[in-house]
Amino acid sequence: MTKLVEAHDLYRFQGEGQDQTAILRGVTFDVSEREFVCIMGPSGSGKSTLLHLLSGLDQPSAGRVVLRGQDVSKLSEEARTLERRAALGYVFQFFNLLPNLTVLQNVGLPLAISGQHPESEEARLVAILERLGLASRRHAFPHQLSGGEMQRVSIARALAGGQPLILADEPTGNLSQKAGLEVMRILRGLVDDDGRSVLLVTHNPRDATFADRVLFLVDGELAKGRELHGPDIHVDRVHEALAALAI
Amino acid sequence: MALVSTIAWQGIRHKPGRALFSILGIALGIAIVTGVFTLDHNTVLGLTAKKGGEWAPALEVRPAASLVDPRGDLERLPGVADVSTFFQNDALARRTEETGRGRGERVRLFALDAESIEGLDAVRVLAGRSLRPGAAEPEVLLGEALAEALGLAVGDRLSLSRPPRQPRTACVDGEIRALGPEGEPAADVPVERAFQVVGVLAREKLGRRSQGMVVIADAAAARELYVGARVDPVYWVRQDPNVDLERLRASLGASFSYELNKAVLIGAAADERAFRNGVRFAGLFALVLGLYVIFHTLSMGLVERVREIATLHALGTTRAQIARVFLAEAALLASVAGVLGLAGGLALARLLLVRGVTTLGTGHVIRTFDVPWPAVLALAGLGVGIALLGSVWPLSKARGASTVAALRGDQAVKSSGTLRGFHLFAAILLAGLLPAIYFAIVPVVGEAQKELVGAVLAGVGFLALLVTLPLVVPALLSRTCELLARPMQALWTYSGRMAALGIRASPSRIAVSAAAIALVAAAFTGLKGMTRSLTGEIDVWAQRALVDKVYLRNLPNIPFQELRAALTQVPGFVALENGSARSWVPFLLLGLRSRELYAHGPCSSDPELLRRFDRGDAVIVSERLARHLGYAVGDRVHVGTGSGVVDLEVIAVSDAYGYFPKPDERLYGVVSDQFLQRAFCQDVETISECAVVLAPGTDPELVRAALHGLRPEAAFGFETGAWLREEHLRDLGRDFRLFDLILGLTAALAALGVLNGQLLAGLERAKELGIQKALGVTRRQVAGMVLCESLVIGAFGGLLGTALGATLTPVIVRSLESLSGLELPDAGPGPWLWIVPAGAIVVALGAALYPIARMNRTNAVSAVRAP
Repeated sequence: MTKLVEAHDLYRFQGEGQDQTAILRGVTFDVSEREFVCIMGPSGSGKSTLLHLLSGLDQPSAGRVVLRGQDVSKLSEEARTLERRAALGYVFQFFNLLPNLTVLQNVGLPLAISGQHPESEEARLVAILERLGLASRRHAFPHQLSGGEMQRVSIARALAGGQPLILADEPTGNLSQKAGLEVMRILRGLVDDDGRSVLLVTHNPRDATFADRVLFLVDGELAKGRELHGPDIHVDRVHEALAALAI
Repeated sequence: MALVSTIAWQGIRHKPGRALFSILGIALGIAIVTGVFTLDHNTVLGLTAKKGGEWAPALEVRPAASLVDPRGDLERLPGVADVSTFFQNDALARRTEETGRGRGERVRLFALDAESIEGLDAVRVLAGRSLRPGAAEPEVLLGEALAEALGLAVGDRLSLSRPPRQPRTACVDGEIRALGPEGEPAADVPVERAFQVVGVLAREKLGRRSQGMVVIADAAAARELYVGARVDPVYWVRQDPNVDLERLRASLGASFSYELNKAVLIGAAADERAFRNGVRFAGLFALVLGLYVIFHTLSMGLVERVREIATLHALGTTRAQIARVFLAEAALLASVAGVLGLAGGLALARLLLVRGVTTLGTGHVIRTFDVPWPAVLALAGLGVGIALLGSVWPLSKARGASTVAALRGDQAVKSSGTLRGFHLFAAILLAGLLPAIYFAIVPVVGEAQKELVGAVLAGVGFLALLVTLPLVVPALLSRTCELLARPMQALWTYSGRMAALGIRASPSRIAVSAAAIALVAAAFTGLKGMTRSLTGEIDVWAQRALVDKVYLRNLPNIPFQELRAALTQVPGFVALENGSARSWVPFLLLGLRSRELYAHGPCSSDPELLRRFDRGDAVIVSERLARHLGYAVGDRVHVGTGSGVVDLEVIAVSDAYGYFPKPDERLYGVVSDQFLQRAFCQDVETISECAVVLAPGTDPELVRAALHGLRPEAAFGFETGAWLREEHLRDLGRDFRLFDLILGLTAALAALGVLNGQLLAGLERAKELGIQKALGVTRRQVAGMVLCESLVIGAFGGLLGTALGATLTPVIVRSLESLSGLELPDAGPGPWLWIVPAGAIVVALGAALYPIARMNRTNAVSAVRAP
């Protein structure tokens, strides 16, 4: 299968001189087409930083990120932005919906960013919202939505752009158990039904069970030999792995 | 485009308060600046139209007989832009091909130097061309009516001749006499000359004279028509607007007598220039303040928008797209503000004109309303352009903000560096670029003398100081504000403490709001200090010239001796000053009887002075005339009379004699009434207007009673000097209402600055506020917090501004003194030293009301839920 994103020996340091600390240390992995990869780790393990590097929002201190065959670190900021726009959909922990835009306008934002007219694609956008159970809320503003609804809007926005890879940064971190479960089912559906790939970072063992592959990030390093594979990743196995890693 | 319109438009739609206050700030600044300029334009235009029935040049000059090359001398004088020989006379005009005499039209002939006609701007040629210097065949320009009456067109020929006439008369040694010919006797048969018609004049300027029955010819050619007749050497002069009128008058005074055309020179006098320049500077001040407020709003708004920008960037929006979005938003706001400001400015100017408020004082009725479009559009464009430039700084910072940090909820922009950069950027734009462009569009009125340049530079420096204050001493400002906040912590434990914390956390925001208040407070203090000095000047002058006098007008031509005899019966009567004998030479010259001078003023203590005055070739000039035209004792003043130019010696400078309220002219000279009788054949034996000088403490009503006893049936005007003094003071107050209005509007702008600052701080601290509310902080405590902060801003800004204004007042007064020629005492700001800070506090507290309402609407749940 084609690899959508590859991380090669990524390092990311913060601070300077004696105060310098390593956030990521030699991280290497990839995400292929139609694959759901989950990276688990405790708070401060570098999960979000890894996503920022993969999306080209941040630059690694060392190592390479290859996005759809292109070495991102060799691209200009403008080119990285355009590549991110074309390849990645982003789902944030804190939703990051634009407060002044309605649900429909927020969902249509990737189209507007690409220079298209969201109005001309309204039927498709409404269909996406219907699929996520939000069609009736399309004229609401973010502050009128519940947390679960806001996260579903965030997913709808990632879907509207049609990008092959969805980066999801703790998407259930601020949601109730039920809403979180619903969001995870949707993300799984994106892989199974739409043929997209999802890279999820989370510290929730339940969320990890939706993935095809689970990697564990501890103190900026991927734990070797602890990777979980296959369709039968159970919560117990995730907990076992976490316990073994003393997380 | 969809992205730009969606984000920019929705941003404005969903933050109407922020959008409205941003628009208001820019619009108010533009409205004041365009309003002031339009008002000034219409003031000059309207008063010129009222004064001038017929076109005339700025000055008509007669040389002293001793001058060999008067025209050359004139051309070399500073302030003379163009000179032309001039004379006018009646003439007979007919078509050249018509034979016989007496069948032509009687016309008015204006003779000017062909090469100077365009420079004087005396005509507008409707058809054909102007006169060509050195043309082989004599040429003329015809009025439109004359061309129609004689059926003449360009290219036709016209014959001109002098009509038979009575000998010219003039006042010579107190008698009206016929003036004899110059040199040779006048020819019995008038000379007729043929001229070629080269142009037809529009019915304006000289083309309007004599209902269009005019001919304009080259002076040399026209002179041949009047060979043998006496033609006095007269010159028309166009003033160079870049040289002050006083300098021109002073340089002319040495060798020329002149008549000023007050219709052309409206607003050009020293005090008028000072007033107009003051109003223009006040306009700039308002624009600077408006933009300063907006700059800060935009800069603070950046904090609120960084997360939005980061999200857009994470979603694949390029930096260029982000720039376009926010520039579009700024452009939309600035354009709407520009249109509103322009419309508001024109409406303000119209309203002020309707209410009789002008840039040359109040009480003028001006019916015309002309919009100087190029200048007002340029001013509005300047406001919009600078506002847009102001949005570039926060935008560039926002573009450079760390997306990753913003997504994490960390500080994405380094605030200290950003704010320092912002203040520097604002200072360069507002205290450098804006004034430079402003004075290019609205140049200062009059000559760029060192005093004026100094005053403008001082003003700009003052603006720069306050704009950069938050940059230079943020720590000092912060500590001072904390000090001011300390007593509040004791009074209102929670609100005071939180306000002090807020001040400590945002010293720059507090400093900017305080600086805006300080700007207005300083301007108010300076203005009030200046008006108190002007009031003091009137007081001093009134004491010398007015208070012990009674002014009588519209008397039924009472013989001088009879009136004096009646008035001597009044206890406390000192002297009688005749106001009926007067002439313009070109300043007002009043003829007083010598014996009326001995009992008061400088002549009372100097018999030699009185003797010289009585000799008839001496003049006592008023203080203001002496200051304006640079006359000192011993100087000689050239006075044009019917029999030529005569010299008068300045023997004293005093306001004790000769001021009369109609017209209210403080530039005058006093001569012996015998001189006026001899030189201008003035009747000095009867009186229709006079001033009665009384001993201090005399009841003025005794004069009224004496007059009633003398002419029981007469209705006459009666004004006491004390009443006139009060009237002058009231006039001064009315004249400065325009400044009060402008500063009132700038106070509204400063309030807007405080409001915006508080509002944005509220948005910035929404989470903190939500947590406090969740912990049980009441609405009252929130209000107390904001009010405490505003109190500090108002008190600090008010005190700082008042201190600066009080320091600047003597500088302003000295500049005004140099510019206006007035002798101004240092009166200081007086009670305004406490009124201004109190007003500043009230303004700041008033501006806090809306932010309080908004903060009390903060949803604690949403605020706590946000990252």
